[in-house]
Amino acid sequence: MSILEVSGLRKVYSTRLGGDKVEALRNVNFTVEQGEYVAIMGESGSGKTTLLNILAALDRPTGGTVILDGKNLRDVKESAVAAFRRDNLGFVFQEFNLLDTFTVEDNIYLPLVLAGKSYKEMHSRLVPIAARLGIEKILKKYPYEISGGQKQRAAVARAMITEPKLILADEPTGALDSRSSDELLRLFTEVNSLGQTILMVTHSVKAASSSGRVLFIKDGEVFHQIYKGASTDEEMYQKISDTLTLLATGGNVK
Amino acid sequence: MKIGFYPRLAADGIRKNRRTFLPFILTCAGMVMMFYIIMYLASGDILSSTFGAETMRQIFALGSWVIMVFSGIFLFYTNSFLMKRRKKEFGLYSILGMGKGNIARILFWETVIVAVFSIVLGLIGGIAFSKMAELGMVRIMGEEANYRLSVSTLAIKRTLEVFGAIFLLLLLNSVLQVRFSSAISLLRSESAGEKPPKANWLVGIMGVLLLAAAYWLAVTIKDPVEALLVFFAAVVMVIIGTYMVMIAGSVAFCRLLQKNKGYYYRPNHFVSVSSMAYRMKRNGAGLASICILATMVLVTIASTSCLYFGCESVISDRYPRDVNLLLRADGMDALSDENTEDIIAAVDGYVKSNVGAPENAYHFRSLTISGGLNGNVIEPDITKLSSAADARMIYFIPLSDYNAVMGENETLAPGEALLYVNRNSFKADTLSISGGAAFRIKKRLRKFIENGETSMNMLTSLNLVVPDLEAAARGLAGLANFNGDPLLRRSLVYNFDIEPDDQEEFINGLPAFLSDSGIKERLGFTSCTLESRENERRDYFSIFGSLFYIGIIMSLVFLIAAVLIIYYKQISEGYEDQSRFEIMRKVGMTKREIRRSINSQLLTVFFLPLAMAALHIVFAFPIIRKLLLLFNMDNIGFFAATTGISVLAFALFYAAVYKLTSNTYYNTVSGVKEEQ
Ligand SMILES: Nc1ncnc2c1ncn2[C@@H]1O[C@H](COP(=O)(O)OP(=O)(O)OP(=O)(O)O)[C@@H](O)[C@H]1O
Ligand SMILES: [Mg+2]
Repeated sequence: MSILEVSGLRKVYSTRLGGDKVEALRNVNFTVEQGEYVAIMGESGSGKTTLLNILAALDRPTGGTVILDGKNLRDVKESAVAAFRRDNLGFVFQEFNLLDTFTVEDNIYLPLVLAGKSYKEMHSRLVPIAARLGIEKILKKYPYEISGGQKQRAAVARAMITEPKLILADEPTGALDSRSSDELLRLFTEVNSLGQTILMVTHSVKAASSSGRVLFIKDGEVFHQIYKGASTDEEMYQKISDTLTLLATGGNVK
Repeated sequence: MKIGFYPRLAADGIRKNRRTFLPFILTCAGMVMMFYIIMYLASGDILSSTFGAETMRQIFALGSWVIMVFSGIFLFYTNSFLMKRRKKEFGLYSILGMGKGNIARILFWETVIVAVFSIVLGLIGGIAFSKMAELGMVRIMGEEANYRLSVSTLAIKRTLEVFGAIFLLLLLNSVLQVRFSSAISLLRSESAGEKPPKANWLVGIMGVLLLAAAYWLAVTIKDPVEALLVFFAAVVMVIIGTYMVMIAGSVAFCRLLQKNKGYYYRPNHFVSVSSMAYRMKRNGAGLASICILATMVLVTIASTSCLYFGCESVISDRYPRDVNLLLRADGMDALSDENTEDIIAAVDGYVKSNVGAPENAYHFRSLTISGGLNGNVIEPDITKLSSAADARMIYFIPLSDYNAVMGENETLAPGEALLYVNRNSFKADTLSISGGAAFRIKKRLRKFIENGETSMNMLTSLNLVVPDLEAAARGLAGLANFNGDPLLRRSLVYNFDIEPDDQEEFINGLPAFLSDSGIKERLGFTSCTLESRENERRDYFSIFGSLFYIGIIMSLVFLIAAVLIIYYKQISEGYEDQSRFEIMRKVGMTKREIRRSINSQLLTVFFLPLAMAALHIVFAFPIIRKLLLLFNMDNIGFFAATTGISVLAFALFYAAVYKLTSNTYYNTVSGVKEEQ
């Protein structure tokens, strides 16, 4: 069953001083099945963040449709968008976006508090997640007291605690060293294996090779995709590198 | 070119961070203005000719100390917030290879720029404001007032000195902060929340003790003259105590709220409580400042409006009738029934021949001594007094006069007396005069003959109604004060209304008539003073009117400072919270929730300073009442009323300001979103 269907998606930015228009997305089509782990790759400026923002309902498309779990995003009223986002989506950002006014624990609770859940319920949800992410020891600390990797794990916990239909991640390893990156990717794979659908934008071949499918975006369109299938991470790594080389040299993929 | 490198870097820094610097400079300028105006009032001759001017000047001079302490504490806190934002930039500089010395030089120039801007701005504001105030005053007083329009160089000098010193301290503090932190901790400092003070409970307890001590001082003070000095000691204690209690209190309060999981983890409390905890110290300091300014406004406006609007009651206490005549005598002959009747008849004749007959007339004879009260003994030698608060006036009034004036039918046996005490209380059953007679108090009176002299006098008076004045005089005639001069005064008071009451010239001629006609000497009186209520009323209104006016100006100044602080709080926190609310929006917070959480935050901090200010007022009440006695104002109910009205009016005004500035906050917080 498809959890996400994107068809004919178009986004045109008109710059502030009128005149110039930037077509960030031209015609994007793809679907994501329940339980999939999909990576999106593409050159800088190819429209990945734009796509993610539209999927997250942070931004409205110029044209095309996004259907999340059978619901067309266009039909979600402006006033209900925030609640919709909170109930259906989880986010992991490159720059973590933890609030320095909250402890790690409270940061993770934030979406649940907004949803009006009781402390007891929040706590019982947190315990298994914190154990799986290995952040039990830092729950009482503030974001400025912990490392980047720990921050990102806290952000993942925040994304997961609402049990969202889809986790969106924008370059989650971008600000991490390689050891923390590996750890995060291992977590993603693990969470995915438990049935969590993940859509991740990344520049890192290594990150992409941990996913089950990689979409390549070029000139505002989905240009190509690779399924991992039964390949190992190493084989996947090779395939992705080859495709990127082709993309960069402007060649065609059959 | 090279000379200007650091100044230019500093100026750039200020320009880039103008969103935080601008409110800071405005706040500093507000403090400078406030200080200048008070110094100006204290040093200028705006008050030179009025009665009570010396007292007022003293109040302003002491008030300037209060403002100084207040400005120092408050600017320290706002500056620490500024530093927090700047540290990140300094961290970057030092990573780029700038030494701590260089940063100190930037800081130096930054402080110079801020200081120059805010002092110049504040002085301009202060001078303009004080000129305006003076113009208004001259207009109200009419030509009679000889108030010059001037700039006080002394006030400018003092302002420069005080704020120069404050800015120097701020600079020192900033330099030390940079000096003792590493580049990395500088970089991170903005995202780090405030740490609670190390010994929070100690700070809190000390604050509570200071407040308790100040309250105790205020409540136990007896003597109005002492009250003035004690008042200012208490004010400074209250300021420091309020800061300590508010800071420690807000830290403890936030902790408590966060511990209460059922309260904390609710959508509209979660964000507000955590951001209050994040800046708990600054929050406490801000609230304390608002509270103190609110208290100052309330005290000023309540007391001066009480004086102004209570003027009529002061006048009628002080001058019970249109014409108030006081005759003094050397011997008791003058106060015999016959002589008293004769002189009153003479006065009545004079009045009747020119105006209508005296109306509402009453007269009473009295003997007066002064002395110190020691237990139930009056000690004529006041040098033996342990406290000025024990000084008393003692009036002896014959029973016949009391019964006649009050329409009573009291009787007294020899050695008995009726007692009326106008302030304080006297509990003992007997009252004796050291070296004189003793009286057994038969009854305590609730109402007494209106006597302008006792209401004017700051000293408490004990009024004894005695069966026989002559007998009482025999026991008192020998008393002498510490100089050896006789203590006893014998007087006759004759007060009456006239119709029409604008016959001043004629009435003023009464004392001359009494002495020129020889009646006065013949009946044994030595002097005669006449006070006309109409004459005095004009003076009183001009004095209390100008006091009230100054009170309004002072309150305005305090209000402006309070508004600035509230505005500063909202703006600076708004900018801080911008990115935070942006993240929360991404995580799924709706605009409505943002609005609601902001309101909840504001509501929590709204009532605190107001409630605390009200508490301060309650305890300041007794001491201010004593101070009002310096101006003959002795109407406690009326003062309570003006205080109540002031508190109400202020609460309304405060609510309006908070509403307006909270919109500023909301717009600041949500500004970035709208652009996207
Ligand atoms: N708010 C905006 N207004 C105008 N143009 C924009 C806006 N946001 C993005 N763009 C443009 O749209 C295009 C796609 O931007 P986007 O941020 O989606 O790229 P990206 O694939 O995420 O790049 P990167 O890998 O560098 O993050 C770029 O040309 C960018 O300049
Ligand atoms: Mg991007």
